[in-house]
Amino acid sequence: MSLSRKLQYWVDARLIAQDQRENIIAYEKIRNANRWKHGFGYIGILSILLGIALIIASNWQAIPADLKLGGHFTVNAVLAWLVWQWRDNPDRLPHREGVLFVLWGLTLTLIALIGQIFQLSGETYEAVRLWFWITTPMIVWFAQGRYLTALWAILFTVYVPYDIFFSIIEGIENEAVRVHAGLAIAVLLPPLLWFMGTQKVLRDHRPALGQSLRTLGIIVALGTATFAGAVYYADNTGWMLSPIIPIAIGAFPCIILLLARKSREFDTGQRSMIDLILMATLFACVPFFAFVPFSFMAMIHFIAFWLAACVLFQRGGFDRAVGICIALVTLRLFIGFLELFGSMMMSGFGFILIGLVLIGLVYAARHVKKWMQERGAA
Amino acid sequence: MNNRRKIIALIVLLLPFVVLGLWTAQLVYSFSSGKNYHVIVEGYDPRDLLHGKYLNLRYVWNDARSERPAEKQIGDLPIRAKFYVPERVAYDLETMLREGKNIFSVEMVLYGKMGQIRSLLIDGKPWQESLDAWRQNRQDQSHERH
Repeated sequence: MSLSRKLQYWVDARLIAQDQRENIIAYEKIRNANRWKHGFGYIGILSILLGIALIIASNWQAIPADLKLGGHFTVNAVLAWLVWQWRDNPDRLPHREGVLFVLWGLTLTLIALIGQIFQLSGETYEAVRLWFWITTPMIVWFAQGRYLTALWAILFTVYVPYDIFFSIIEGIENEAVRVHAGLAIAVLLPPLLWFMGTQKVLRDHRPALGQSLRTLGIIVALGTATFAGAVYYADNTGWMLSPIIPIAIGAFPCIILLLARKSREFDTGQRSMIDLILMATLFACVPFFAFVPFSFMAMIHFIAFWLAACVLFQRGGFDRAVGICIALVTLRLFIGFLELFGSMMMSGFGFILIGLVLIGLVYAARHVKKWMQERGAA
Repeated sequence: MNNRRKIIALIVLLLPFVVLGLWTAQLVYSFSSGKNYHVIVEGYDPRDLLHGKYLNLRYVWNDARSERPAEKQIGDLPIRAKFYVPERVAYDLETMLREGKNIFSVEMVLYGKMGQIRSLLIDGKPWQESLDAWRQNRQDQSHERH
Protein backbone atom coordinates (compact mmCIF):
# COMPACT_ATOMS: atom_id res chain seq x y z
CA MET A 1 0.00 0.00 0.00
CA SER A 2 1.34 3.43 -0.90
CA LEU A 3 2.09 5.96 1.81
CA SER A 4 -0.61 8.30 0.49
CA ARG A 5 -3.32 5.62 0.68
CA LYS A 6 -2.18 4.42 4.09
CA LEU A 7 -2.30 7.98 5.43
CA GLN A 8 -5.78 8.42 3.95
CA TYR A 9 -6.91 5.30 5.87
CA TRP A 10 -5.56 6.86 9.06
CA VAL A 11 -7.35 10.14 8.26
CA ASP A 12 -10.61 8.21 7.69
CA ALA A 13 -10.08 6.36 10.97
CA ARG A 14 -9.54 9.76 12.65
CA LEU A 15 -6.07 8.79 13.81
CA ILE A 16 -4.47 11.82 12.12
CA ALA A 17 -5.85 15.06 10.69
CA GLN A 18 -5.99 15.97 6.97
CA ASP A 19 -3.32 18.68 7.31
CA GLN A 20 -1.00 16.18 9.09
CA ARG A 21 -1.43 13.85 6.11
CA GLU A 22 -0.47 16.62 3.70
CA ASN A 23 2.52 17.66 5.80
CA ILE A 24 3.82 14.08 5.92
CA ILE A 25 3.44 13.66 2.14
CA ALA A 26 5.23 16.98 1.50
CA TYR A 27 8.05 15.98 3.88
CA GLU A 28 8.53 12.56 2.22
CA LYS A 29 8.51 14.21 -1.23
CA ILE A 30 11.41 16.50 -0.27
CA ARG A 31 13.28 13.67 1.45
CA ASN A 32 13.09 11.39 -1.57
CA ALA A 33 13.68 14.08 -4.21
CA ASN A 34 17.42 13.33 -4.59
CA ARG A 35 17.24 9.57 -4.18
CA TRP A 36 17.65 8.73 -7.88
CA LYS A 37 20.57 11.16 -8.22
CA HIS A 38 22.36 9.51 -5.28
CA GLY A 39 21.58 6.05 -6.66
CA PHE A 40 23.07 6.79 -10.09
CA GLY A 41 26.01 8.60 -8.49
CA TYR A 42 26.88 5.57 -6.34
CA ILE A 43 26.53 3.19 -9.30
CA GLY A 44 28.88 5.45 -11.29
CA ILE A 45 31.50 5.48 -8.49
CA LEU A 46 31.19 1.71 -8.07
CA SER A 47 31.66 1.19 -11.82
CA ILE A 48 34.82 3.36 -11.84
CA LEU A 49 36.27 1.52 -8.83
CA LEU A 50 35.45 -1.84 -10.39
CA GLY A 51 37.13 -0.78 -13.64
CA ILE A 52 40.29 0.32 -11.79
CA ALA A 53 40.33 -2.94 -9.79
CA LEU A 54 40.02 -5.03 -12.96
CA ILE A 55 42.82 -3.13 -14.75
CA ILE A 56 45.08 -3.64 -11.71
CA ALA A 57 44.12 -7.32 -11.42
CA SER A 58 44.82 -8.06 -15.10
CA ASN A 59 48.31 -6.49 -14.82
CA TRP A 60 49.02 -7.76 -11.31
CA GLN A 61 52.17 -9.72 -12.22
CA ALA A 62 53.66 -6.78 -14.09
CA ILE A 63 53.34 -4.39 -11.14
CA PRO A 64 56.54 -4.19 -9.03
CA ALA A 65 56.18 -5.34 -5.41
CA ASP A 66 57.10 -1.89 -4.04
CA LEU A 67 54.37 -0.27 -6.08
CA LYS A 68 51.79 -2.84 -4.97
CA LEU A 69 52.63 -2.29 -1.32
CA GLY A 70 52.94 1.48 -1.64
CA GLY A 71 49.65 1.68 -3.54
CA HIS A 72 47.84 -0.41 -0.96
CA PHE A 73 49.20 1.63 1.95
CA THR A 74 48.17 4.82 0.11
CA VAL A 75 44.59 3.63 -0.51
CA ASN A 76 44.27 2.65 3.15
CA ALA A 77 45.72 6.00 4.24
CA VAL A 78 43.21 7.91 2.08
CA LEU A 79 40.34 5.92 3.58
CA ALA A 80 41.67 6.53 7.10
CA TRP A 81 41.89 10.24 6.30
CA LEU A 82 38.23 10.23 5.17
CA VAL A 83 37.18 8.49 8.39
CA TRP A 84 39.09 11.14 10.32
CA GLN A 85 37.54 14.01 8.35
CA TRP A 86 34.01 12.73 8.89
CA ARG A 87 34.47 11.63 12.52
CA ASP A 88 32.22 14.30 14.07
CA ASN A 89 29.88 14.96 11.18
CA PRO A 90 26.46 13.33 11.74
CA ASP A 91 25.43 14.09 8.13
CA ARG A 92 28.32 11.95 6.92
CA LEU A 93 27.61 9.00 9.20
CA PRO A 94 26.54 6.55 6.44
CA HIS A 95 29.57 7.55 4.33
CA ARG A 96 31.91 7.13 7.29
CA GLU A 97 30.48 3.71 8.08
CA GLY A 98 30.95 2.63 4.45
CA VAL A 99 34.53 3.92 4.26
CA LEU A 100 35.36 2.37 7.65
CA PHE A 101 34.00 -0.97 6.46
CA VAL A 102 36.16 -0.83 3.30
CA LEU A 103 39.23 0.21 5.35
CA TRP A 104 38.60 -2.69 7.71
CA GLY A 105 38.47 -5.18 4.84
CA LEU A 106 41.44 -3.64 3.02
CA THR A 107 43.60 -3.96 6.14
CA LEU A 108 43.16 -7.73 5.84
CA THR A 109 44.04 -7.69 2.14
CA LEU A 110 47.12 -5.58 2.99
CA ILE A 111 48.27 -8.26 5.44
CA ALA A 112 47.70 -10.90 2.75
CA LEU A 113 49.69 -8.79 0.26
CA ILE A 114 52.62 -8.41 2.68
CA GLY A 115 52.56 -12.19 3.17
CA GLN A 116 52.57 -12.73 -0.59
CA ILE A 117 55.34 -10.26 -1.40
CA PHE A 118 57.69 -11.44 1.34
CA GLN A 119 56.86 -15.13 0.80
CA LEU A 120 55.75 -15.62 4.41
CA SER A 121 54.77 -19.09 5.49
CA GLY A 122 52.30 -18.22 8.24
CA GLU A 123 48.88 -19.81 8.56
CA THR A 124 45.62 -18.08 7.59
CA TYR A 125 44.46 -17.87 11.20
CA GLU A 126 47.61 -15.95 12.12
CA ALA A 127 46.83 -13.31 9.48
CA VAL A 128 43.23 -13.09 10.73
CA ARG A 129 44.44 -12.81 14.33
CA LEU A 130 46.76 -9.92 13.51
CA TRP A 131 44.04 -8.20 11.46
CA PHE A 132 41.39 -8.59 14.14
CA TRP A 133 43.47 -7.22 17.00
CA ILE A 134 44.99 -4.25 15.18
CA THR A 135 41.65 -3.14 13.72
CA THR A 136 39.45 -3.78 16.76
CA PRO A 137 40.25 -0.47 18.54
CA MET A 138 39.51 1.41 15.29
CA ILE A 139 36.14 -0.31 14.76
CA VAL A 140 35.05 0.00 18.40
CA TRP A 141 35.98 3.68 18.44
CA PHE A 142 34.59 4.81 15.09
CA ALA A 143 31.76 2.41 14.14
CA GLN A 144 28.33 3.62 15.23
CA GLY A 145 25.91 2.09 12.73
CA ARG A 146 23.95 -1.07 13.38
CA TYR A 147 25.43 -3.15 10.58
CA LEU A 148 29.13 -2.56 11.09
CA THR A 149 28.93 -2.94 14.86
CA ALA A 150 26.88 -6.12 14.50
CA LEU A 151 29.42 -7.49 12.03
CA TRP A 152 32.30 -6.75 14.39
CA ALA A 153 30.40 -8.21 17.35
CA ILE A 154 29.70 -11.43 15.40
CA LEU A 155 33.36 -11.70 14.41
CA PHE A 156 34.39 -11.07 18.04
CA THR A 157 31.97 -13.74 19.27
CA VAL A 158 33.15 -16.31 16.76
CA TYR A 159 36.83 -15.51 16.53
CA VAL A 160 37.92 -14.75 20.10
CA PRO A 161 36.55 -17.97 21.72
CA TYR A 162 37.91 -19.96 18.76
CA ASP A 163 41.35 -18.45 19.24
CA ILE A 164 41.31 -18.89 23.02
CA PHE A 165 40.08 -22.48 22.70
CA PHE A 166 42.78 -23.48 20.22
CA SER A 167 45.48 -21.72 22.24
CA ILE A 168 44.40 -23.70 25.34
CA ILE A 169 44.14 -27.11 23.71
CA GLU A 170 47.31 -26.79 21.63
CA GLY A 171 49.39 -29.81 22.53
CA ILE A 172 46.71 -31.37 24.77
CA GLU A 173 45.80 -34.83 23.54
CA ASN A 174 43.32 -35.72 26.29
CA GLU A 175 39.80 -35.56 24.80
CA ALA A 176 38.11 -34.95 28.16
CA VAL A 177 40.29 -31.91 28.88
CA ARG A 178 39.54 -30.51 25.40
CA VAL A 179 35.77 -31.02 25.84
CA HIS A 180 35.74 -29.34 29.26
CA ALA A 181 37.90 -26.44 28.02
CA GLY A 182 35.28 -25.95 25.28
CA LEU A 183 32.48 -26.10 27.87
CA ALA A 184 34.21 -23.52 30.08
CA ILE A 185 34.56 -21.08 27.17
CA ALA A 186 30.99 -21.72 26.00
CA VAL A 187 29.44 -20.96 29.41
CA LEU A 188 31.64 -17.96 30.16
CA LEU A 189 31.11 -16.28 26.80
CA PRO A 190 27.38 -15.35 27.09
CA PRO A 191 27.65 -13.51 30.44
CA LEU A 192 30.84 -11.83 29.24
CA LEU A 193 29.15 -10.59 26.05
CA TRP A 194 26.00 -9.53 27.84
CA PHE A 195 27.78 -7.61 30.60
CA MET A 196 30.06 -5.96 28.04
CA GLY A 197 26.92 -4.84 26.22
CA THR A 198 25.44 -3.32 29.38
CA GLN A 199 28.49 -1.21 30.26
CA LYS A 200 27.66 2.46 30.73
CA VAL A 201 30.33 3.61 28.31
CA LEU A 202 28.75 1.54 25.52
CA ARG A 203 25.19 2.47 26.50
CA ASP A 204 26.06 6.17 26.36
CA HIS A 205 28.47 6.33 23.44
CA ARG A 206 28.04 3.16 21.34
CA PRO A 207 24.41 2.00 21.87
CA ALA A 208 24.38 -0.05 18.65
CA LEU A 209 27.49 -1.96 19.72
CA GLY A 210 26.08 -2.54 23.20
CA GLN A 211 22.84 -3.86 21.73
CA SER A 212 24.72 -6.19 19.35
CA LEU A 213 26.81 -7.62 22.20
CA ARG A 214 23.78 -8.17 24.43
CA THR A 215 21.85 -9.86 21.62
CA LEU A 216 24.81 -12.08 20.78
CA GLY A 217 25.22 -12.98 24.47
CA ILE A 218 21.63 -14.25 24.51
CA ILE A 219 22.01 -16.08 21.16
CA VAL A 220 25.22 -17.80 22.30
CA ALA A 221 23.60 -18.76 25.63
CA LEU A 222 20.63 -20.29 23.81
CA GLY A 223 22.92 -22.09 21.35
CA THR A 224 25.24 -23.43 24.06
CA ALA A 225 22.41 -24.84 26.19
CA THR A 226 20.70 -26.32 23.12
CA PHE A 227 23.77 -28.01 21.66
CA ALA A 228 24.89 -29.33 25.07
CA GLY A 229 21.89 -31.67 24.84
CA ALA A 230 23.62 -33.46 21.95
CA VAL A 231 25.92 -35.00 24.59
CA TYR A 232 23.11 -37.49 25.33
CA TYR A 233 23.67 -38.99 21.88
CA ALA A 234 27.31 -39.84 22.73
CA ASP A 235 28.32 -43.44 22.03
CA ASN A 236 31.30 -43.46 24.35
CA THR A 237 32.10 -41.65 27.58
CA GLY A 238 35.79 -41.04 26.92
CA TRP A 239 35.19 -37.28 27.25
CA MET A 240 33.84 -37.59 30.81
CA LEU A 241 35.72 -36.31 33.83
CA SER A 242 34.70 -36.15 37.46
CA PRO A 243 31.23 -34.52 37.84
CA ILE A 244 32.84 -31.92 40.11
CA ILE A 245 34.61 -30.28 37.16
CA PRO A 246 31.51 -29.30 35.12
CA ILE A 247 29.84 -28.18 38.37
CA ALA A 248 32.86 -25.96 39.12
CA ILE A 249 32.85 -24.65 35.54
CA GLY A 250 29.16 -23.73 35.76
CA ALA A 251 29.35 -22.35 39.30
CA PHE A 252 31.56 -19.38 38.46
CA PRO A 253 29.29 -17.71 35.86
CA CYS A 254 26.23 -18.62 37.98
CA ILE A 255 27.61 -16.82 41.05
CA ILE A 256 28.49 -13.76 38.94
CA LEU A 257 25.00 -13.75 37.40
CA LEU A 258 23.26 -14.17 40.77
CA LEU A 259 25.23 -11.26 42.20
CA ALA A 260 24.51 -9.12 39.16
CA ARG A 261 20.81 -9.95 39.42
CA LYS A 262 20.65 -8.15 42.77
CA SER A 263 21.97 -4.93 41.24
CA ARG A 264 19.39 -2.14 40.96
CA GLU A 265 20.95 -1.10 37.70
CA PHE A 266 18.88 -3.61 35.71
CA ASP A 267 15.17 -3.39 34.83
CA THR A 268 12.72 -6.33 34.61
CA GLY A 269 13.55 -7.11 30.99
CA GLN A 270 17.28 -7.15 31.72
CA ARG A 271 16.77 -9.30 34.83
CA SER A 272 14.87 -11.78 32.68
CA MET A 273 17.85 -11.95 30.35
CA ILE A 274 20.23 -12.50 33.29
CA ASP A 275 17.94 -15.34 34.41
CA LEU A 276 17.97 -16.71 30.88
CA ILE A 277 21.78 -16.77 30.73
CA LEU A 278 21.87 -18.31 34.22
CA MET A 279 19.44 -21.00 33.18
CA ALA A 280 21.33 -21.61 29.91
CA THR A 281 24.54 -22.09 31.93
CA LEU A 282 22.86 -24.73 34.08
CA PHE A 283 21.35 -26.50 31.07
CA ALA A 284 24.75 -26.42 29.31
CA CYS A 285 26.45 -28.09 32.29
CA VAL A 286 23.78 -30.63 33.26
CA PRO A 287 24.59 -33.22 30.54
CA PHE A 288 28.25 -33.18 31.64
CA PHE A 289 27.69 -33.97 35.30
CA ALA A 290 24.45 -35.96 35.03
CA PHE A 291 25.05 -38.00 31.91
CA VAL A 292 22.59 -40.75 31.05
CA PRO A 293 23.33 -42.90 28.00
CA PHE A 294 19.80 -42.46 26.66
CA SER A 295 19.08 -40.24 23.64
CA PHE A 296 15.49 -39.54 24.81
CA MET A 297 17.09 -37.31 27.46
CA ALA A 298 18.21 -35.00 24.68
CA MET A 299 14.56 -34.27 23.86
CA ILE A 300 13.63 -33.72 27.50
CA HIS A 301 16.63 -31.42 27.92
CA PHE A 302 15.72 -29.42 24.79
CA ILE A 303 12.04 -29.05 25.61
CA ALA A 304 12.62 -28.20 29.26
CA PHE A 305 15.16 -25.55 28.32
CA TRP A 306 13.07 -23.91 25.60
CA LEU A 307 9.89 -23.94 27.70
CA ALA A 308 11.78 -22.22 30.51
CA ALA A 309 13.26 -19.76 27.97
CA CYS A 310 9.71 -19.12 26.71
CA VAL A 311 8.57 -18.17 30.22
CA LEU A 312 11.54 -15.82 30.69
CA PHE A 313 11.03 -14.17 27.30
CA GLN A 314 7.35 -13.73 28.15
CA ARG A 315 8.30 -12.11 31.46
CA GLY A 316 10.76 -9.80 29.75
CA GLY A 317 8.16 -8.77 27.15
CA PHE A 318 9.96 -10.31 24.13
CA ASP A 319 6.89 -11.50 22.23
CA ARG A 320 8.65 -12.54 19.03
CA ALA A 321 11.08 -14.72 20.98
CA VAL A 322 8.14 -16.41 22.72
CA GLY A 323 6.75 -17.41 19.31
CA ILE A 324 10.14 -18.82 18.27
CA CYS A 325 10.38 -20.86 21.51
CA ILE A 326 6.95 -22.39 20.94
CA ALA A 327 7.79 -23.24 17.31
CA LEU A 328 11.08 -24.89 18.35
CA VAL A 329 9.44 -26.97 21.09
CA THR A 330 6.79 -28.14 18.61
CA LEU A 331 9.43 -29.06 16.05
CA ARG A 332 11.50 -30.92 18.63
CA LEU A 333 8.45 -32.82 19.82
CA PHE A 334 7.81 -33.96 16.27
CA ILE A 335 11.44 -35.08 15.82
CA GLY A 336 11.41 -36.68 19.27
CA PHE A 337 8.37 -38.77 18.54
CA LEU A 338 9.88 -39.90 15.24
CA GLU A 339 13.04 -40.89 17.14
CA LEU A 340 11.08 -42.60 19.88
CA PHE A 341 8.43 -44.47 17.97
CA GLY A 342 10.23 -44.83 14.67
CA SER A 343 7.16 -44.51 12.45
CA MET A 344 4.64 -41.82 11.48
CA MET A 345 1.76 -43.97 12.73
CA MET A 346 3.14 -44.46 16.22
CA SER A 347 4.34 -40.85 16.33
CA GLY A 348 0.79 -39.81 15.52
CA PHE A 349 -0.43 -41.62 18.66
CA GLY A 350 2.37 -39.98 20.60
CA PHE A 351 1.27 -36.52 19.43
CA ILE A 352 -2.35 -37.19 20.35
CA LEU A 353 -1.22 -38.32 23.78
CA ILE A 354 0.97 -35.26 24.40
CA GLY A 355 -1.79 -32.99 23.07
CA LEU A 356 -4.25 -34.49 25.57
CA VAL A 357 -1.69 -34.10 28.36
CA LEU A 358 -1.09 -30.42 27.48
CA ILE A 359 -4.84 -29.64 27.30
CA GLY A 360 -5.30 -31.47 30.61
CA LEU A 361 -2.51 -29.40 32.17
CA VAL A 362 -4.07 -26.12 30.99
CA TYR A 363 -7.50 -27.28 32.32
CA ALA A 364 -6.01 -28.31 35.66
CA ALA A 365 -4.02 -25.05 35.96
CA ARG A 366 -7.19 -23.00 35.33
CA HIS A 367 -9.07 -24.92 38.03
CA VAL A 368 -6.21 -24.67 40.52
CA LYS A 369 -6.03 -20.90 39.93
CA LYS A 370 -9.81 -20.53 40.36
CA TRP A 371 -9.74 -22.66 43.52
CA MET A 372 -6.91 -20.60 44.97
CA GLN A 373 -8.74 -17.33 44.17
CA GLU A 374 -11.90 -18.65 45.89
CA ARG A 375 -9.92 -19.72 48.96
CA GLY A 376 -8.24 -16.32 49.00
CA ALA A 377 -11.64 -14.56 48.84
CA ALA A 378 -13.03 -16.78 51.60
CA MET B 1 35.74 16.22 20.64
CA ASN B 2 38.17 17.22 23.40
CA ASN B 3 41.93 16.87 22.98
CA ARG B 4 42.26 13.60 24.89
CA ARG B 5 39.54 11.91 22.84
CA LYS B 6 41.07 13.33 19.69
CA ILE B 7 44.46 11.79 20.51
CA ILE B 8 42.91 8.40 21.32
CA ALA B 9 40.92 8.49 18.07
CA LEU B 10 44.07 9.26 16.11
CA ILE B 11 46.01 6.46 17.83
CA VAL B 12 43.36 3.81 17.12
CA LEU B 13 43.08 4.93 13.50
CA LEU B 14 46.85 4.87 13.01
CA LEU B 15 47.45 1.61 14.91
CA PRO B 16 47.04 -0.68 11.84
CA PHE B 17 49.39 1.56 9.83
CA VAL B 18 52.05 1.63 12.54
CA VAL B 19 51.94 -2.15 13.13
CA LEU B 20 51.89 -3.08 9.44
CA GLY B 21 54.46 -0.39 8.58
CA LEU B 22 56.93 -1.61 11.20
CA TRP B 23 56.35 -5.21 10.17
CA THR B 24 57.01 -4.36 6.52
CA ALA B 25 60.18 -2.44 7.45
CA GLN B 26 61.44 -5.39 9.48
CA LEU B 27 60.72 -7.78 6.58
CA VAL B 28 62.47 -5.51 4.08
CA TYR B 29 65.50 -5.37 6.39
CA SER B 30 65.72 -9.14 6.96
CA PHE B 31 65.04 -9.82 3.27
CA SER B 32 67.91 -7.63 2.15
CA SER B 33 70.49 -8.17 4.89
CA GLY B 34 70.15 -11.83 6.03
CA LYS B 35 72.62 -14.57 5.08
CA ASN B 36 71.54 -16.56 2.04
CA TYR B 37 71.06 -20.36 2.17
CA HIS B 38 70.47 -22.67 -0.76
CA VAL B 39 68.03 -25.45 0.24
CA ILE B 40 66.46 -28.32 -1.69
CA VAL B 41 62.66 -28.42 -1.42
CA GLU B 42 59.83 -30.76 -2.32
CA GLY B 43 56.12 -30.03 -2.67
CA TYR B 44 52.87 -30.95 -0.98
CA ASP B 45 49.25 -29.66 -0.88
CA PRO B 46 49.42 -26.82 -3.44
CA ARG B 47 46.37 -24.64 -2.66
CA ASP B 48 44.95 -22.35 -0.03
CA LEU B 49 41.78 -20.31 -0.24
CA LEU B 50 42.82 -17.02 1.34
CA HIS B 51 46.22 -16.61 -0.23
CA GLY B 52 45.26 -17.58 -3.77
CA LYS B 53 47.85 -19.67 -5.60
CA TYR B 54 51.07 -20.77 -3.99
CA LEU B 55 53.27 -23.79 -3.76
CA ASN B 56 53.44 -25.50 -0.42
CA LEU B 57 57.02 -26.59 -0.01
CA ARG B 58 58.89 -28.74 2.47
CA TYR B 59 62.58 -28.05 3.14
CA VAL B 60 64.82 -31.09 2.64
CA TRP B 61 67.55 -30.17 5.13
CA ASN B 62 69.19 -33.59 5.12
CA ASP B 63 69.89 -33.42 1.39
CA ALA B 64 73.64 -33.10 0.79
CA ARG B 65 73.04 -30.17 -1.56
CA SER B 66 71.17 -28.15 1.10
CA GLU B 67 73.09 -25.50 3.04
CA ARG B 68 72.37 -24.83 6.66
CA PRO B 69 74.00 -23.05 9.58
CA ALA B 70 76.56 -25.35 11.17
CA GLU B 71 75.47 -24.55 14.72
CA LYS B 72 71.83 -25.54 14.15
CA GLN B 73 70.20 -28.97 14.38
CA ILE B 74 67.56 -29.91 11.76
CA GLY B 75 64.88 -29.74 14.48
CA ASP B 76 65.66 -26.04 14.99
CA LEU B 77 65.07 -25.16 11.34
CA PRO B 78 61.81 -24.36 9.55
CA ILE B 79 59.97 -27.35 8.08
CA ARG B 80 57.59 -25.86 5.55
CA ALA B 81 57.27 -22.80 3.34
CA LYS B 82 54.87 -21.22 0.92
CA PHE B 83 55.97 -19.74 -2.35
CA TYR B 84 53.44 -17.46 -4.02
CA VAL B 85 53.26 -17.76 -7.78
CA PRO B 86 51.20 -16.01 -10.47
CA GLU B 87 47.79 -17.58 -11.08
CA ARG B 88 48.56 -18.44 -14.72
CA VAL B 89 51.66 -20.53 -13.91
CA ALA B 90 50.54 -22.18 -10.69
CA TYR B 91 49.07 -25.27 -12.32
CA ASP B 92 52.17 -25.94 -14.47
CA LEU B 93 54.53 -25.49 -11.53
CA GLU B 94 52.38 -27.83 -9.49
CA THR B 95 52.56 -30.40 -12.30
CA MET B 96 56.36 -30.06 -12.49
CA LEU B 97 56.61 -30.59 -8.74
CA ARG B 98 54.36 -33.63 -8.87
CA GLU B 99 56.27 -35.19 -11.78
CA GLY B 100 59.45 -35.12 -9.68
CA LYS B 101 61.74 -34.92 -12.73
CA ASN B 102 63.19 -31.52 -11.80
CA ILE B 103 65.13 -30.45 -8.74
CA PHE B 104 63.40 -27.64 -6.86
CA SER B 105 65.44 -25.48 -4.51
CA VAL B 106 65.15 -22.08 -2.84
CA GLU B 107 67.41 -19.22 -1.87
CA MET B 108 66.30 -18.30 1.62
CA VAL B 109 67.04 -16.22 4.70
CA LEU B 110 66.81 -17.66 8.21
CA TYR B 111 65.75 -15.78 11.30
CA GLY B 112 65.16 -17.96 14.34
CA LYS B 113 62.95 -20.88 13.42
CA MET B 114 61.43 -18.89 10.57
CA GLY B 115 62.45 -18.85 6.96
CA GLN B 116 61.84 -16.34 4.22
CA ILE B 117 62.25 -17.39 0.62
CA ARG B 118 64.08 -14.98 -1.66
CA SER B 119 63.75 -16.96 -4.88
CA LEU B 120 62.71 -20.32 -6.26
CA LEU B 121 65.06 -22.24 -8.52
CA ILE B 122 64.33 -25.22 -10.74
CA ASP B 123 67.38 -27.24 -11.75
CA GLY B 124 69.54 -24.38 -10.49
CA LYS B 125 67.91 -21.77 -12.76
CA PRO B 126 65.23 -19.15 -11.96
CA TRP B 127 61.86 -20.87 -12.03
CA GLN B 128 60.54 -18.68 -14.88
CA GLU B 129 63.35 -19.87 -17.17
CA SER B 130 62.91 -23.57 -16.36
CA LEU B 131 59.14 -23.30 -16.63
CA ASP B 132 59.38 -21.78 -20.11
CA ALA B 133 61.69 -24.61 -21.21
CA TRP B 134 59.34 -27.23 -19.68
CA ARG B 135 56.34 -25.71 -21.43
CA GLN B 136 58.22 -25.57 -24.75
CA ASN B 137 59.24 -29.20 -24.34
CA ARG B 138 55.68 -30.25 -23.61
CA GLN B 139 54.41 -28.35 -26.64
CA ASP B 140 57.03 -30.02 -28.88
CA GLN B 141 56.05 -33.46 -27.59
CA SER B 142 52.40 -32.71 -28.25
CA HIS B 143 53.18 -31.65 -31.85
CA GLU B 144 55.22 -34.82 -32.41
CA ARG B 145 52.31 -36.97 -31.23
CA HIS B 146 49.92 -35.28 -33.64
